[in-house]
Amino acid sequence: MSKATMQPEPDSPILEVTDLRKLFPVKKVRLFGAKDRFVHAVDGVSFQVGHGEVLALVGESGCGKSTLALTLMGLEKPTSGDILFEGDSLASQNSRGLKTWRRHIQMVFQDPYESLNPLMTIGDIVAEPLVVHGIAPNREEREARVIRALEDSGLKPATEYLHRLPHELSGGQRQRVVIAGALVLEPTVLLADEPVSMLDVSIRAEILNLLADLRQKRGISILFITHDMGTIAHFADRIAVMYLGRIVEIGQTLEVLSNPQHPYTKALLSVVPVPNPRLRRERIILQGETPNPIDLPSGCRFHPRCPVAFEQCPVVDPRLLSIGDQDEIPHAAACLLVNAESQPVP
Amino acid sequence: MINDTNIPSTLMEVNHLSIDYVTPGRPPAHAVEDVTLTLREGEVLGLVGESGCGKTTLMLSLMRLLPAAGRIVGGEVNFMGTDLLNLSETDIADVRWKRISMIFQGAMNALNPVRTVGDQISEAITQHIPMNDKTALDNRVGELLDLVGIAPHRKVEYPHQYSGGMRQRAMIAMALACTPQVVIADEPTTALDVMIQAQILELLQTLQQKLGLAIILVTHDLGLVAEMCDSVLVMYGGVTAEYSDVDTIFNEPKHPYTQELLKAFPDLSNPRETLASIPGYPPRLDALPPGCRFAPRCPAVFDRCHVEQPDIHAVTPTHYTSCHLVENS
Amino acid sequence: MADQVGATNLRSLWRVFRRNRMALVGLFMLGAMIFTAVFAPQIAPHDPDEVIRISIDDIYAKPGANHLLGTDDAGRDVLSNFIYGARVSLTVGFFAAAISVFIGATVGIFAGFYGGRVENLLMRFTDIMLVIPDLPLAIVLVALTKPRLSNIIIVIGILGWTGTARLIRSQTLAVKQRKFVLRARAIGAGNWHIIRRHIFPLVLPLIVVNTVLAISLAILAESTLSFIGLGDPTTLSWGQMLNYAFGRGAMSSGALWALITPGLGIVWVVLACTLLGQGLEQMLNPRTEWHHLSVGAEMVDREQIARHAAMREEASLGAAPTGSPASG
Ligand SMILES: Nc1ncnc2c1ncn2[C@@H]1O[C@H](COP(=O)(O)OP(=O)(O)OP(=O)(O)O)[C@@H](O)[C@H]1O
Ligand SMILES: Nc1ncnc2c1ncn2[C@@H]1O[C@H](COP(=O)(O)OP(=O)(O)OP(=O)(O)O)[C@@H](O)[C@H]1O
Ligand SMILES: [Mg+2]
Ligand SMILES: [Mg+2]
Repeated sequence: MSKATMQPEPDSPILEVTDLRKLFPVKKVRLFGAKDRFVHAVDGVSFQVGHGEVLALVGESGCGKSTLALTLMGLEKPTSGDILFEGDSLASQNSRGLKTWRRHIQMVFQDPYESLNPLMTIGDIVAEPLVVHGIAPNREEREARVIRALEDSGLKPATEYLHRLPHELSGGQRQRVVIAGALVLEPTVLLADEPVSMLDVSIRAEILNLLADLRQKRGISILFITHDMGTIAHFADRIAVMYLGRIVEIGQTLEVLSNPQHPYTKALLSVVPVPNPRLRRERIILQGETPNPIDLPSGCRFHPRCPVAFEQCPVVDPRLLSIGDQDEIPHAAACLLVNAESQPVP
Repeated sequence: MINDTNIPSTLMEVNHLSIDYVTPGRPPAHAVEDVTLTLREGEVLGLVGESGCGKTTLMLSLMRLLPAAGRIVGGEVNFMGTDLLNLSETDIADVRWKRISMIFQGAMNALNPVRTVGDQISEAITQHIPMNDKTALDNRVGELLDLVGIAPHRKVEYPHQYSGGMRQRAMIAMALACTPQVVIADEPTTALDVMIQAQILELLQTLQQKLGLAIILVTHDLGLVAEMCDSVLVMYGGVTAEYSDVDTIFNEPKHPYTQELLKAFPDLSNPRETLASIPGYPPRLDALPPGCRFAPRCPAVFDRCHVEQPDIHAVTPTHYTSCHLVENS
Repeated sequence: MADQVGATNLRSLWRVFRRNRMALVGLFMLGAMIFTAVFAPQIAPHDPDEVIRISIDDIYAKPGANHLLGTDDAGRDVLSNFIYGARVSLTVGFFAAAISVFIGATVGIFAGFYGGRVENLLMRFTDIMLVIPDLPLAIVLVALTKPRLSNIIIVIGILGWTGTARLIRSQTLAVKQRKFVLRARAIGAGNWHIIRRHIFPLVLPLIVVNTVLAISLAILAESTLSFIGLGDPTTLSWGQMLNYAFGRGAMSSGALWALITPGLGIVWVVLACTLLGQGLEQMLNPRTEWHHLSVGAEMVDREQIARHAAMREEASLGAAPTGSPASG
C-alpha cells in the first residue's frame, strides 16, 4: 500500500467494511422511461474498527449513520460492498450464522420511544435477548443478569423498574433500558446509535465510564454514533465524519478536533455550544440548500455549501486520502484543498 | 401592544404546581412538587435536571396533558390571566397548539407510520384552523418543512423513509404550524447534529424576536442553555433546586446540585481522561426521604438536611434556591 | 396509534371500558343473552321437547298466563323456544366467528408479516373469496352437505374471514414497521418469535373487536340460511322459528308474536355485538390527537389542590417567591 492511499487503520481489525453502499429506491411515477431514482443513504464507505477500539461516527442528520449501523447488523441488505467480522463475511451468512452474528454484534437503537415494545415489561424486554439465544435458561440466573445489566446502565435500584411498562418511564430511563438490552448479551462489538442523547451529563458520564471499563476488561469494540462533540473528545479513539453517505474525514480524535482539515468538519466544530453564557459567539451556519441524497451534487458533494469551494470542486470528486507525510498521526480527509494530488474520478 | 415600562408582560405564571403518578396498589409517586415559575413574552426559559426528575411531566401539565396515571394535585397554571386548570375541556382544547404548543420528547415517534408526513402536518393545521383552500394548505406545509430544513417535495414520504433527525424536524414544523405564543420544546434537538440544531435554534430565536414567542427549552445540553436561554430552572427529584437568570446559574450557582451538574459537563476545549459523574442515584419518588431530596448525594450535606425539607429561599430577588446552606448564610 | 393503549394492563383497560357507555351497554346486552342461553332449562317455562297433546286452540294461541308470548304453529311455547333458540343461535355465532377470525387473523398476520410472494398469494386468494357472493355459495355448500348444525357453522366460518384478513393484514403491516420489531431482529430473534411476542400481542385488540363483530355476522348468516329452509331441522334456532312462522301461516292468522320474538332476538344480539365492537374499537383506537396522553378532566384533582392551597395559606408567614429572574 502506498502511503498516499493509506487510511489510518488499526493493526488488527475486528470489523472491516469495504466500499459499502446502501441505496433506497424512490417510488416515482415513471414517465417516458425515466431512470429509477435512489436515496444514496450510504455510498461507498470503507473503514475498520480495531479490537477494543472506540470509533466515533459523526455527521449531519440524515447522512446515513443509522443506515450504516443497520447494514452492519444485517438488518438492511447492502446494495454492494461487504462487511467482515473477524474475517467472516456478512454476505455469506445463512440464518444460523446471522443469529450468531447478532449475538456478537449488538446495537443500541437511536429512538428509545419506538424501540421498546409497549406491552412488555422492562424485565421481559431486557431478558428477551437471553431467551432468544437460550443463554441462562435458569430463571434466577437470568434475572440476575437482567438486574446487573439494568444497574450497569444506571437504572438503580433495578428491582424498582423490572415490572414497569415502557410508558411509565421517562425518556432517559427508556434509553437506559435500550442500552441494558444490548449489553445483557455481552457483545464483542457494540454499535451505539446516539445511546446517551437523552441523558443528563452525570448519567451520561456514568455510562461512558462503564463502556470504557468494558473496553478495558473485555476488549469490546464500539462504533459510537453521536452528535455530541464533547462526549467524543473524552471517549473516542478515532473519529469519522460523514457527509451525504460518505466519510469525508477520519483520524485520531484529538488530531481531528484540534486540527480539522475538511471544511465540513471545521464548520461542525464551530457551532458546538459552549457552556458559558459570557462566551456567546456568533454561530457560523452553513449556507445553501439542504443536501438532497437523491440528486447528489456533482464532484465534491459538499461544494454547494462549502465556504472555500473553488472551480475544481464541482468537477472532481475527492478521494479519502491521508494528510501530510508523517505516519505518526494517521489522519485522512476527502478535500481537494487538502489533497492536491486527487485525480478526477473517471 | 404598547408597554410603556418596556418590561415584557407576563405570559404564564405557574404557582406551586404538584403532580403525582397514581398506580392502583402502589403509593403515589410525587413526580413534581411545588414548582413555581414565571414566563414572560419573548423569554427563553431553560429547564435542566437529571433524567427522570419530572421535566416532561411538568411541561405536559402546562398543556393539561398527562399520561393516564398523572394527577395534578396542587397549584395553578395561569396563562394570560386564566387558570388553565379551571378551564373546561373545550376551552383548554382551544389553548392547546394554537397558543401553547409542544415539541414532545422523542417526538420523532409520534408520527403515524402509515400516513405521509405532509398529510400529518396539514392535519395538525386544519384541526385547529379551518382551511379550505387546498393549494394554500399545501403551500403552508411546504413552507413549514422548508423552515426546518426538509426539502418540501419530501412531504409525500412516509415517516420510515425519514432519518431520525428529519422526523424530529417534522415534529418541530408541526409545533410551529399554528404560530403559538408559547412553544414548549422538550429536548427538541436530541437527534439533530450541531449544525441543524444551530439552524433550528436560530429559527426559534428569530420567531421569538419577531413574534414575541416565549420558549421553554428542556435540555441536557448546558452549552445550549448558556447560548439560548434568559433564565434557567434547575430541577432535582421533582422539586426546584435553583431558579435564576442564566448568568447567575452558570457563574454563581448556590445549590450543590447545580454546582455538581456544571462540574460534570464535558468541556470540549479541555478533554480529561474520565468524565465526572455525581455518585449515587436519585430518590424513589414513591418513598421520598424526609429531608432534602438531594441529601444522599450532596457533598455539602449536614445533619439538618436529612430531617427537614428545605423551602425555597430568595438569595436575591431574582435568584431562588432550595438549600439549607443558603438560609444559614 | 392503536397500540398505544395496549400499553395499559387489564385493570386499567377495565377502567377505560367502564367509561365507554356504548361498550358497556353492548356488553350488558350480550351478557344477558348469554346468561339466558346458559340457564335456559332454569328460565324457560316449558321444556321444548316435552310431549304435548295439542288441540286446535293451542295453535297460535294468543299470549296469556300459561304462554307468556303465545304459542307457535305446533302449539309450543314461543318464549321457551326463544330461550332455547338463543342457545343454538349463540353457539353458531361463537363457533363460526371463532373459525372465521382464526382463519382471517392467520392469513392477515402471515400476509402482512412475510410480504412478497406469500402476501401476493394469500391476498389474491382473499380477493377471490371476497368477490364471490357469500350467500349463494353458502346455500350451495349447505345444500350439498347435510344441513347439520356443525356443517352450517363450518360453512359460515370459512366464508366469513376475508374482511378480518384484510384488516389484520394492514394492522400487521403497521406494527411491522415499528422499531421494536427491528430491535427484536437485532437481538437475533427469528420470525416465529417476532410474530408471537411482538406482532400478535399488538394486533390482538383488533382481533378481539373483529371477533365480536363476526359473531353478529355469523348469527345473521345462520338466520338467513335457516329462514330459507337450509337450517338444521333437528334444532330450533331463531332463524328456524322465523322460517316456521312464515311458512305456516303466522302472518295470515295474525300471530305476530311468533314472528316478532325471534326477530327481536336477532336484532338484540346484532345490536349488542355492534355496540360492544364499536365501543371496543373506540377504546382501543382513540381518535384523539393526543393518543397516549389523557386529556380528561379527572387529571385535575381539585380536592387535593384545595387542600394544598389551604395548607400553604396556613404556613405562609413570608410571601411565596413569585418574581421572575428574567426581569432582573
Ligand atoms: N427505509 C428507507 N427508505 C427510504 N429512504 C430511507 C430509508 N431509511 C433511511 N432512508 C434515507 O436515508 C438517509 C439516511 O438515513 P439515516 O437514518 O441513516 O440517517 P442518520 O445519519 O442516522 O440521521 P439522523 O442523525 O437524523 O438519525 C435519509 O435521507 C433517509 O431519508
Ligand atoms: N405513568 C407513570 N407511572 C409511574 N411513574 C411514572 C410514569 N411516568 C413517569 N413516571 C416517573 O416519573 C418521573 C418523572 O418522569 P419525567 O418523564 O417527567 O422525567 P424527565 O425529567 O422528563 O426525564 P428525562 O430527562 O429522562 O426525559 C420518572 O422517574 C418516571 O419514572
Ligand atoms: Mg440516525
Ligand atoms: Mg423527559
